[in-house]
Amino acid sequence: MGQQFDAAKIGMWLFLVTEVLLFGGLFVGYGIMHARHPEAFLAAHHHLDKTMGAINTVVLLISSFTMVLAVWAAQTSKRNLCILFLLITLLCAGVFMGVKYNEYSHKFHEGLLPGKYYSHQGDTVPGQFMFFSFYFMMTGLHGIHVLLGMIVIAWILFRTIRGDFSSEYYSPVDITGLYWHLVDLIWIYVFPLMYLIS
Amino acid sequence: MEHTAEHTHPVTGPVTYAKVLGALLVLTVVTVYASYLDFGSMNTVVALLIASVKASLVALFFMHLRHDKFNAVIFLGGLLFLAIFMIWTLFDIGTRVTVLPSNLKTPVQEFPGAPLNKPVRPQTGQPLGAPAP
Amino acid sequence: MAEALTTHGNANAAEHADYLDYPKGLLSWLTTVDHKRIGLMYMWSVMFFFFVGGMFALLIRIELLSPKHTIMTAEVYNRVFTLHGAIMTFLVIIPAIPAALGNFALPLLIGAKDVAFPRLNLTSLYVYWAGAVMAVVVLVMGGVDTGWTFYTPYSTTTGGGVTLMVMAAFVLGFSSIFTGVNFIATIHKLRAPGMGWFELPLFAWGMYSTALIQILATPVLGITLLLLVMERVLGVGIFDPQLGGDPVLFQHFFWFYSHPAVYIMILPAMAVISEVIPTFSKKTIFGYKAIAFSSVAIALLGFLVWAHHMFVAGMSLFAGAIFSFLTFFIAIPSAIKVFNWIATMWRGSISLDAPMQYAISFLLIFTIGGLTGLFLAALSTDVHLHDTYFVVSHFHYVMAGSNLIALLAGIHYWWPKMFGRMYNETLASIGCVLVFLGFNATFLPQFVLGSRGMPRRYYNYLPEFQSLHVASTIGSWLLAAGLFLILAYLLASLRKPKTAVANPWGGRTLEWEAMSPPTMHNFDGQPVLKHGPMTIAPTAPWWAWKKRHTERGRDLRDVSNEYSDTYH
Repeated sequence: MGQQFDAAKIGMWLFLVTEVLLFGGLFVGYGIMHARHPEAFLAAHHHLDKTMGAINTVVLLISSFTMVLAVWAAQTSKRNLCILFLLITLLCAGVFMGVKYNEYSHKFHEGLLPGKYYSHQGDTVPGQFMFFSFYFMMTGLHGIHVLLGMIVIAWILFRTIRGDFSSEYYSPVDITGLYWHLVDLIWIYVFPLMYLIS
Repeated sequence: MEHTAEHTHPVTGPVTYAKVLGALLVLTVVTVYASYLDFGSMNTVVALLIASVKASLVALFFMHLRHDKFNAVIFLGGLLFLAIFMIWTLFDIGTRVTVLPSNLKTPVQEFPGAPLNKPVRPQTGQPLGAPAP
Repeated sequence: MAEALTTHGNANAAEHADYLDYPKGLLSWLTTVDHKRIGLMYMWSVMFFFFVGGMFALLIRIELLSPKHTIMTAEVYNRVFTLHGAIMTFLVIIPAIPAALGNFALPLLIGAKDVAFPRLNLTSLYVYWAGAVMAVVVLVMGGVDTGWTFYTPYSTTTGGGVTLMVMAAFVLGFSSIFTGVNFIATIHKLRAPGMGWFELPLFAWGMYSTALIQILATPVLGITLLLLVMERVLGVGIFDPQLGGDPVLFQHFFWFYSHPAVYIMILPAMAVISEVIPTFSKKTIFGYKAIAFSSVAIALLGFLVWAHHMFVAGMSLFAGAIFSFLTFFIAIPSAIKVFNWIATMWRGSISLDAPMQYAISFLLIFTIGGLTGLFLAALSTDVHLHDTYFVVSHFHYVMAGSNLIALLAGIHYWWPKMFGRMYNETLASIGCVLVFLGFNATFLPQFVLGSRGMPRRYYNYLPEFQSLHVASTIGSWLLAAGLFLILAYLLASLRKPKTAVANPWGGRTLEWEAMSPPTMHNFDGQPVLKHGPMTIAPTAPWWAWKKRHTERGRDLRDVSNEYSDTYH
């Protein structure tokens, strides 16, 4: 079992490396365009709500914390605690997506849309559409990862309730945790780059 | 052979995790606070430094990399190649205009896209010179 | 030589059905998690798309028989060469050796029952098929005219199925990543007991290096293609100079993947050759460690040189000079490999069976391809040769010639293991000669064309280029004839009874211990890498043997004799 566990873990880490490079490419693009259009990016980021972003950061950090506790609970065969922590994680992820939905609908309403769909009126600094291109691509790709994570966590929750895991076998919980932490880790960078430009 | 740490090291307990969460939350407050201070050109650097400390905490504790040397190497390897990508690309972009052949006679016109932040149509973001869509 | 070898593989045939026969039925193939079956399905899929891409190649060559209109219009020509490039790159060359031969042979070579994640392996095949279906849909819809590189701003403004084609390449990237993840975990975790890192067959080293690139580079292709789609659909502006973006940035993104991807194509080819040459030279590979490390070195160095594709793209000259300088370093590990292969053959008792004929063709073609690469790496020469037929010919020598011929070497090498049957060896020799001559006849004239200034991807050309174009086209027919002949005798061999012995070539790696074809679980029990006398001795590389046996302070000459007695 140890062999299989290790292999699964290596596989997950290799997958996480691909995720890092996937998002990394987007960050490189963001960095270069930010350097080319500093005024536009600075002006555009004022349309974002720092409070919302901070709330989401905190929510995601807490969900990461409860996820690691769920792994710990699985590791020490505490099934009920594991279920509880997975539920809280799922709840936090739901809150995150709720806030995100709220932010998105606000942006849609104001015409702060990516690329050629940008239709916000009364801009003093030109070229702000570029910021929103990146805003939607980065938070959108991240949001898709959160959604996928929620599906996987729900499946793990189901399997925990079914009693699949114990201190002998908890590899799926563990590698799901790794994935979830990576989602958190990416947000840790997205938050200052998007919401806190100064 | 590479990685049996998982079974030999003691399980990290909830207390440690709670401390790490506390540190992460404090750093979140710090990063928001720092965004109101002016460090000049260092603003982004400061923000990224704080983010990197947070990310390291997550990776080392929540993702157990401090007991998991082998996978830490995999992860750092990925970051290394991301850095290569970033640095090489920025290197080209950073030196594109300043380094020119020494025997160049006429001034080189800048690339049409290079003068940034030209006035654009507010509705579409298209430059004013371009034909309306 | 075959009859001198054991037939113990077939002795067990009655007890254990081989993997081809059991379980039966199409459904059992489509739901299999057996690496051998997945490898075979990959192989047939790759062959199918090789046929499709090859047909486009023949059309291109026929069109170029005369300047201007020969059989198609310029618009159709643009679509045909784009589909040729995109299909050959993403659907054929990249999966050809790793996914087809690698899946089949890697677990056998390291003495494992299967890859580390068999279900992920099957998923990878289905993802490949999904990408393939998308590509076929594009083909039916009328194709794409951007060239396989999808350069902006043309690709963001032209019509046609660019978005779908780009998404197909994106999906195919996942398939490649899954294979890479699988191979790395397999090599780390499932080696036979007693097999240390430096007792791995060199094929495994090649696959490991390939997998590293697949994991580190493919995600960047993914994000590049996503950005391209976003640019087309939303007009996000990152690559569009009119909107303040940078089209050269696309080329950075694209080549950060696509240059290392060239090594996804060539490293597995080198890996196959590193297995074939020692087997048919009846020698242990010369310079085992040098070949192993040069694979890894190529994989890693490959990430530092991508911008040599962009010397004339408006990139910074300073960066160009540095990329040019770094590019020359790639020649070092490549040359190390070639010299070691030649040293392996030196004073070996070489038997020129079909796989070895292909391996020798590979050496010649790869050397030409590699050396012409140096012309293109030099910044000043490249300004003249960039986007000419010289480049076309260079990368066909490396990507198509070397990869394809190594694939054929591998298929001929492992064919008895895959199907338990031998092909007609006379026809195999004729096929090999036809392919070698046809390939060179097609592409040698293109070096001349390119150096005289014939630009690539052009529909029309000056009349003085016509004779060389005609020579190239006739060469392509010779090449096609050779490939059809190979297909014919390989398929014909499948109608014969399964008579191949377990080890027809006297190979000394673990896969030859399994039956031909192997049972579902490959081996009877877990094979262990032994160093004592065996009927079919798995290879202990000489220097590893030396290390083990000289620790007791013995005379090196005795150790050497003992090694020879054991293995020869």
